[in-house]
Amino acid sequence: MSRVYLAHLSLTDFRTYTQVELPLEPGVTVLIGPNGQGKTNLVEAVAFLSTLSSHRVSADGPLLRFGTERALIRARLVHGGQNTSLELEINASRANRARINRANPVRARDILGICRTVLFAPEDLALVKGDPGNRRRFLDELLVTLIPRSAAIRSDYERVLKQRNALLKSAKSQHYSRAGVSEGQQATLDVWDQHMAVAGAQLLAARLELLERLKPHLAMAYRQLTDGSKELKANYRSTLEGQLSDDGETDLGSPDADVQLAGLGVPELTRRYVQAFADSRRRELERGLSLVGPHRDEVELMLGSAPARGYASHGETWSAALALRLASYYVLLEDAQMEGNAPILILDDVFAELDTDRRTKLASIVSGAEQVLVTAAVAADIPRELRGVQIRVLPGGIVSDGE
Amino acid sequence: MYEGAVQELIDELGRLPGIGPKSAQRLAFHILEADPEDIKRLVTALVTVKERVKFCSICGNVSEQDTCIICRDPRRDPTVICVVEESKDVQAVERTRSFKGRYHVLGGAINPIAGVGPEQLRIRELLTRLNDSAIEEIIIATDPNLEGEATATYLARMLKTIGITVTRLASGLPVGGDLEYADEVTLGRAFEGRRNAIA
Ligand SMILES: Nc1ncnc2c1ncn2[C@@H]1O[C@H](COP(=O)(O)OP(=O)(O)OP(=O)(O)O)[C@@H](O)[C@H]1O
Ligand SMILES: [Mg+2]
Ligand SMILES: [Zn+2]
Repeated sequence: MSRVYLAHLSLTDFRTYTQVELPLEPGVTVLIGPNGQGKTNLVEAVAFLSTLSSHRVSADGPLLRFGTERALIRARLVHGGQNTSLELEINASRANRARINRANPVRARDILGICRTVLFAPEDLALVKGDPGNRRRFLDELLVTLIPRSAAIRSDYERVLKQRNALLKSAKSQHYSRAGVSEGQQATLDVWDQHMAVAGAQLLAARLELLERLKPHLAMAYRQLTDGSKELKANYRSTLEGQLSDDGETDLGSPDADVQLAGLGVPELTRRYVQAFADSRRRELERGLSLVGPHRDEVELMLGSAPARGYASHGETWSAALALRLASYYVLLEDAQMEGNAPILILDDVFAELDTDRRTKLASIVSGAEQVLVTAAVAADIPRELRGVQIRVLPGGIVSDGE
Repeated sequence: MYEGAVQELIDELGRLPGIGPKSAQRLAFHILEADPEDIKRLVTALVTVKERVKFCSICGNVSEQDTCIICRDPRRDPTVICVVEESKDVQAVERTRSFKGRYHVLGGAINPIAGVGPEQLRIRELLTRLNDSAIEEIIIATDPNLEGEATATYLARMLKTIGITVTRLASGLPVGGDLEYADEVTLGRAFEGRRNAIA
């Protein structure tokens, strides 16, 4: 496997930074400084270059330094001795753009997969405790990091979903009128059913395949982080297998149905979606909303025999969240055996919140990575296993080296 | 905000497609500073186009007479109709010189978010044209994006019952794109490689 590391990061008008240059080395780098000085801002930029999304905000607006219209993230990656330069322009009022090796600008989406990262942050607790949207996003983002062209699958599905929801919303009033939904509208719905079935089946198949790859790593990572008395499992609960109740809520299919679904293939999943949409037409018209599809699916996490969400203790929740991120790291590493593109690990403020035992365990696992970026407010929070290069992040956005 | 007339002009320009507030302002000031004769010519062109240019009563393409030049041209193949979203797509297909039949302009694509359903498109007019038994094939050349594909699916399903050959342009057109931006070679090939739209 060839070495991949970030050798230089340069930010312009990103968050707190007017302009900052950050040279980096392979191995462990710890960013240390008081609260609110811009440590997270730095690693957020690295992660954004990798996933085109932030772990803190869902819109790009907050990434632009107050009062500016455009932010630049520039990076030099060293990839098996070769330099790759990446430049990402985040724009307030038009589409983001990217440049690879100073070539002509391309769509931002085209840099996905070049700089791979796995980010651990306190926000990850929501992966376990939060609503299903958090877990769907986790899976979809990993999917895009692993297979960049699946970004298109995801955005196609989102577009179809928006169109179909708009149609259902306007048909809802017809549904409740005396005339009822016209034949023309039913025929139009049939068309969107067909297109959503195709897009949904592709997304579902990709998610199921990815989850099957994740499962063994997830169980292993949880074992590594704990005493091993409980097992962490993930089951994909699809609305395709479920029963729609009259109030439009879905009883999801049985927990082990995902293995069978994963074996079906896209054409069969498409056929099943078409059928499921037909079966739920009346309820969808009543609600004016798409009730069946990957956008309503759940990735259920089980700790032993209890669901993690709503049952796990605080410590267990942390372990499960870390295990999800570690499992992503393992899947990407496995893939990197062929691709030669091992992920950079980013640990944003996680050690302060962990007990000594979990700290040590996590530190010894991640210290083996090619490159690790860690942020902490005080040096004392960093476990001995991760003492690497220390960089002080000081007021005024100045980054100085302080071995 | 500017005073009266200037702001009114900016607002009007801002309503045009693809013109944001900043461009509208720039255009307005360009007009203010321009030679009055130039602006008179522009105004005349605008008024004339609205007075003189109509939509062809057969195919919906822009035309200065009741029917457009293509519909009036006896050399065009009366057995094939190419269905497009907009008049500008007719121009794009004409540039390829691959197509000798006639057109039908829908006036858009099915787009629920924008409130456009089949009733808002010239689909009823298409069905009326199909009563003419000379027509043997319909080529669907809607844009290769989601809304264009959905419109194609809708048409294919509807025409299935009529028993006419329905084909869809072959892929090779950039997905997610606009027909009018496809280059002639690609679009020409897409015509030659069209496939049956009724599965
Ligand atoms: N778009 C922006 N423009 C200017 N300043 C911003 C912007 N976004 C965030 N900030 C400022 O950045 C600071 C937070 O930076 P950051 O999250 O990197 O801190 P940190 O060093 O990680 O702190 P902690 O140790 O508390 O995690 C806040 O003071 C916030 O006001
Ligand atoms: Mg922070
Ligand atoms: Zn005509």
